[in-house]
Amino acid sequence: MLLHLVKKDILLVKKYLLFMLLVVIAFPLFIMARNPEFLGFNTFLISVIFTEFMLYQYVSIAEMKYPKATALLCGTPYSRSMLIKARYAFLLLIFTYCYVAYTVLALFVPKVEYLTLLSTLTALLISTILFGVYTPIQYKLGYERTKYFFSIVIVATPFILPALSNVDIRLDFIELSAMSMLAKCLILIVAVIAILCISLIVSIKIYSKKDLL
Amino acid sequence: MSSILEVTGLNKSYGDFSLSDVSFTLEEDCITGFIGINGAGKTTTIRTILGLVTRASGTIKFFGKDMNKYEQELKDRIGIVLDDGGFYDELSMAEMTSIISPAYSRWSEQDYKTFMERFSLNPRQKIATLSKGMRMKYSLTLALSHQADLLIMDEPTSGLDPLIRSQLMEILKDYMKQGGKGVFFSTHITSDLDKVADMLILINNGRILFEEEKDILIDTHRLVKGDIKDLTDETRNLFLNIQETEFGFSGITNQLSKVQKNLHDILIERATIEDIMLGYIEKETKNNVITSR
Amino acid sequence: MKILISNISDKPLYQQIKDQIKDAIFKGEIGEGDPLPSIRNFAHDLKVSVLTIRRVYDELEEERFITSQVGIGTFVSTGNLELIRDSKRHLVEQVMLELIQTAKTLRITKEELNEMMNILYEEDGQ
Repeated sequence: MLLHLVKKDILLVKKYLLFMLLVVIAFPLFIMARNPEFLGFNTFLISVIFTEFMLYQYVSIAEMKYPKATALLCGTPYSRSMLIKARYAFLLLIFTYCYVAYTVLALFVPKVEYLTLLSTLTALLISTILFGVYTPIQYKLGYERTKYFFSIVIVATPFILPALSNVDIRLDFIELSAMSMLAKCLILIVAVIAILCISLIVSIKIYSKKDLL
Repeated sequence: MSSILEVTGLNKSYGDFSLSDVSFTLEEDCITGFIGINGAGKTTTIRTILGLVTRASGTIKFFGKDMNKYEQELKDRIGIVLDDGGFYDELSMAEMTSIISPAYSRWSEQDYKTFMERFSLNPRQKIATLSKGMRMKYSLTLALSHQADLLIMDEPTSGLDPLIRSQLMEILKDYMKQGGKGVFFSTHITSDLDKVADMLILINNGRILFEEEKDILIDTHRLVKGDIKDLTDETRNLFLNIQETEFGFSGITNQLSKVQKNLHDILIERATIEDIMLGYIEKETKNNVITSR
Repeated sequence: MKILISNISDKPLYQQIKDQIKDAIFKGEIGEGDPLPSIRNFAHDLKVSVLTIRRVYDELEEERFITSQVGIGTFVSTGNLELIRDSKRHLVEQVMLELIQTAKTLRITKEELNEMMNILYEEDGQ
């Protein structure tokens, strides 16, 4: 049943899907041509956050345009928690696609290197933190009041690029630290799961008490 | 006969409107009309029953089971028609169906196809291009394609022409023929109910004014017309509401024998559901004015 | 069986239906053991609520005019002709008792009552 709700989210952003999916492929190529030193983790992170945010906002706009449709869905045996879980699954799906697209790119384009497990997990953690915080807030305050957050993110992106060099340094630090690779990966995985679970539970709690109409 | 729906002590506040202590029961094999003017609380009640909005207090039981405990299981047996459908207009009917149908364990693709054909609906058509009547028919198709035991409909006929409305009533009667089913629908177009309703529940200002068998309502109320001169304070009280013009009065009463004893030279007719509904609403409004003084 | 419901009559709907069914049984339009329509179909054809037909059937069953068997249907009672004949008399007796009560209240004597009865009976043309 969850799959069908994820399908619903995909159907709702159908119009923008193709464009966004192409962006995921085009953006690394663009960076490769302009600033090849930014390839790798930074590029991947930006494309993940950008794609997830854009599609997430499009889906939120669609839901906001048709509140009665959400109500109808809640009148069916689909539970409210299932609707929320599907939304999180939707985001994870986008992340997975970004990873696969990037890896395929690495396969065919020699200048693009494969992502390391560590950088993938780190990107996952960062995007999970961002959405883990943003999603419950959006459920609580609604799309109207939180959409400006998105605009800020988009505007801030050009400024993120220089800031990323700092992240680079911190990553090197993580890599140089004494823990084994396995331990680092495990910590990241546990953190991702923990944040996902907490965010999910909070979102579900908020949404169960909401008046849908 | 067992109860299909039992609502007890429903309370819900929305700013300056609230449902107060709404209680009623729907029996099996009955079509129940939920009537009231716009803003009376029909839609709020239905949304509260379905869990679409939270309630301050009250219990809701379907088929004897508490909604709080058995929500998914119960919703599986309920067919819903919301006013204006409640669809993602950008999708086609087929796409919308592909989202909704997996929710129900007893979905019947056969029934779905039969209804779509019967209503001449093309599944690939975008929902935004459908007329109001087609939207209702599509909504009904979804509600009737998963072997629901109870149909709950919120103003399914508003904005529709008399032909479609009477077609809908026929479909409801067919649905009831299966036995063990129930229909609950809210409307302010009471003429539809004259023909098909078994029970009527009137809500006004968030309160239930009556819950009665339609035939009994029609039997016990009359529309009386006569000369104003014959009205006294005492006889005025025998009526739920009275309209007076220079040519005479007309009013609804549920105390016909007393009226006949006290007033002579009157015309007596059967009242329509609308007459009776307006009668109770006016009486309630008058009472509220009196108590607020 | 002919059942016509009047919109102008003062009699409650269920009473009209019940009386006309009884009439049909008395007149032999439906015989002992004959099936009656199902509650749903009957309600549909007469355009009344199923609750009303249910009431009619319940009361007719109580008065032993019909019997219903779960899953099979509702039928005119058999072997109740005596009962029916008795209840015909019973019906008239009921009305007569009311009549006598009213007459007594209005101080009309038995003789006057009989006289009125004779005149009206002839007048009615039956």
